Amino acid sequence: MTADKTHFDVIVLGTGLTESIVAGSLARAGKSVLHIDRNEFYGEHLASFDLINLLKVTNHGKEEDPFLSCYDEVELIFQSGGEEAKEAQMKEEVLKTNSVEATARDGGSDVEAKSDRKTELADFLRDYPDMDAVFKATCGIDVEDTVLSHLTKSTADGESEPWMPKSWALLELLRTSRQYNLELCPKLLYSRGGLVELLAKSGVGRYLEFKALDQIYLFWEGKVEQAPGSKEDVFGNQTVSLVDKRRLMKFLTFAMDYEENEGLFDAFKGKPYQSFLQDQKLSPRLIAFILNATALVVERETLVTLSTEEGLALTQRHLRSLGRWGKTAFLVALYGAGSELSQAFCRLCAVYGGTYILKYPLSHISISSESGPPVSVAADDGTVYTASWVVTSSTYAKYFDPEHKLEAESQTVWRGIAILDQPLYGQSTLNVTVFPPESIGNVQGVMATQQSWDVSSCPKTKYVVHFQASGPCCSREDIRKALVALTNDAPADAAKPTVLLAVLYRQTVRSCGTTWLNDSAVVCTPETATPDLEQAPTVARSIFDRIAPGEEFLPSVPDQSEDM
Amino acid sequence: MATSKSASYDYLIKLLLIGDSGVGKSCLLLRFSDDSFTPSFITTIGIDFKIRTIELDGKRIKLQIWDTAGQERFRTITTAYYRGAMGILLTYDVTDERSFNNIRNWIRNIEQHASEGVNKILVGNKCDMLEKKVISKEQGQALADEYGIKFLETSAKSNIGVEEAFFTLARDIKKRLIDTASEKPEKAAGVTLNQEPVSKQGGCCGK
Repeated sequence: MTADKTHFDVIVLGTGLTESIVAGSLARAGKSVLHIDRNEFYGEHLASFDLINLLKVTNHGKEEDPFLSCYDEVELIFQSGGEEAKEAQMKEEVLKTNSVEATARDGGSDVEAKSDRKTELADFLRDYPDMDAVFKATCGIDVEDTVLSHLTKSTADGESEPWMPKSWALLELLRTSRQYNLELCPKLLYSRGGLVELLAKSGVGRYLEFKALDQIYLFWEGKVEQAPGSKEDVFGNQTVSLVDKRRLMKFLTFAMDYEENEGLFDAFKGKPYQSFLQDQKLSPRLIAFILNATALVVERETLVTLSTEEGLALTQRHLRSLGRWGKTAFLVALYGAGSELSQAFCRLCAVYGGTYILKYPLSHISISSESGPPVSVAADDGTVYTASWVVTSSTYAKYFDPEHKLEAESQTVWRGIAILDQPLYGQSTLNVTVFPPESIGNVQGVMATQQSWDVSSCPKTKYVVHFQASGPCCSREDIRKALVALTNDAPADAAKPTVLLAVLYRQTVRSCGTTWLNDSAVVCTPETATPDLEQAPTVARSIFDRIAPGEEFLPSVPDQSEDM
Repeated sequence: MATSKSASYDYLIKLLLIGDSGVGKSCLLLRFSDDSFTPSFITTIGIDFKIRTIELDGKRIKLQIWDTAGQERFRTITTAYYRGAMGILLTYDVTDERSFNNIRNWIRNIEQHASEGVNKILVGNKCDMLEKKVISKEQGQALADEYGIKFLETSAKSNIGVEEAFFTLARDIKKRLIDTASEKPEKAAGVTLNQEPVSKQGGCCGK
């Protein structure tokens, strides 16, 4: 597993987006790059998985693993009221009915069919031993005790095990696992953001495909409202008074080029954005629309502390991204943004000679050498790699010499991924719903992003909603309340989608911003709480400039799309 | 299946090369796309993908053929590499038994990451090196039969079988996707980011 070469200009550890952009840009500039990840997949905390692997990562039970230990407090919700279970129930009933006739005819076929099912379940669990915990949590069955022992036990008495329909329904869902691409940390791209510009300019965008987000919704005073995304939307809105429409338009026009009218907000510099918005005589509803659905600020504390300049910058970024593609300011990446973007930059790195080793545990990073190369990285297999620089994600910070221990805070985000049988809002397949703090009894604001088959998140007949809440005191309850608000817990109500399977979990990453430990070592932090990835190219650029000063950052690659 | 807006081609087909390091994937690609051969011990650097437009039954088919960029060395091929691939050339070296035995692993990898029903062809490269050959044509054929795929021996160096390998795969894909295209509803075209000049001005309110 060792590379024949052990010295490189740069060693990059972790394949999150920032590290991947650094690796790609440095290889592109002619540096030799060794890029390592201890996981067997790309993207670190931004990775996406099929259904089985998502359940595996969130139900890991490995507290000592520096990556997996960032995921805990997992809760699985599996409703047997879902379509799969209904179908399974029906099949079970058909089986019973048939069996009466069958028994009358020749006897025994019901038993056979049932034990076939059990055999299938047992076979599956043998192939995927990691799924034991999932079956235990959702169906209350213990694989060893229940499935395997029932296999050997005779079921000739016709007694149906109560766990069987539910287990079977779960199995049916897991069998379509490969059709899911579920992100640990879903992200949106601003249509005119720095990242999109970089993808277009560098040519890395050729590896990727996107769809425009359809709509942003705001949960306001007990109901869901469409957030206006254009001038037409604002004026077409029947529920906003004409005076409010004018005020909103005036404000949005100003915010688009706010730097040119400094006099208008000078007095509010350093003061809360909220008070500036109030001063513009905007109604609380419009303020919520601007803060929650335009600046996309949903953390309770940030809503209060956000300064006027920061708020205007966020609002402007959103407004400037409107009208490029689709109805909103955002693009959704097929198969998952963080995962695919990281891999695209890694491919660029590889095309320009970068060496990749995944699933490669490390034991030590030394940056204190008196003589010799400034950086040496020791792998578990005994190989020592040396370099002039090391760029690492915070996951690997613990491998540095003790004198370089980092002051890192914990950054916690509560998340939920729900697989639904219907879309949330009819036609719209890709959308975001923002729940401001306290709008549904939640402490922190919650963002819910619906994805679909259109971006290859799930099979065509299913929908996926990602929930996230961050900030002090965010909790599982915030996620649960948003989930309940959007879906139905009473299976009789067909108007709302039913949750087939939901995974709620806590993601806690070590956060240290971007820290240079000395001239040859820098640690960067993944962007988990933000809805976008705008920070990654900026941080990557600053690291690139320090390692390769004077070099062009990600110049475009030669166009190979025409015949040679 | 992508259909061209311009008249330069009728269909675009995405192909991948898969197989161990050193089996000659890039050489096969360069022989097919540029009709060139460079004997070299340097592993793949700088080849992203190559394009060659061919004609099949009167249709112009643009083949976009992707190389592994060396990421096969430590089995770190990105899952993204497999996205949208319609055909795969599974390549081994007839002088290297290990590369032949590893074909099974690569097939497992494909089953995990490529789309279902992707067309495959097994290719035994370096068939010009008769004195060093350790995998017989029969062994290659037997493995291909086991997986129900076609098989060819090639030499990128002597230009044996290369055209045939790519054309056979392209023809199978055309048969599967183009000639029977009707029932399968494909996704609406997405947004792609090309190297076009990007305008700075937003398009929203008030402008």
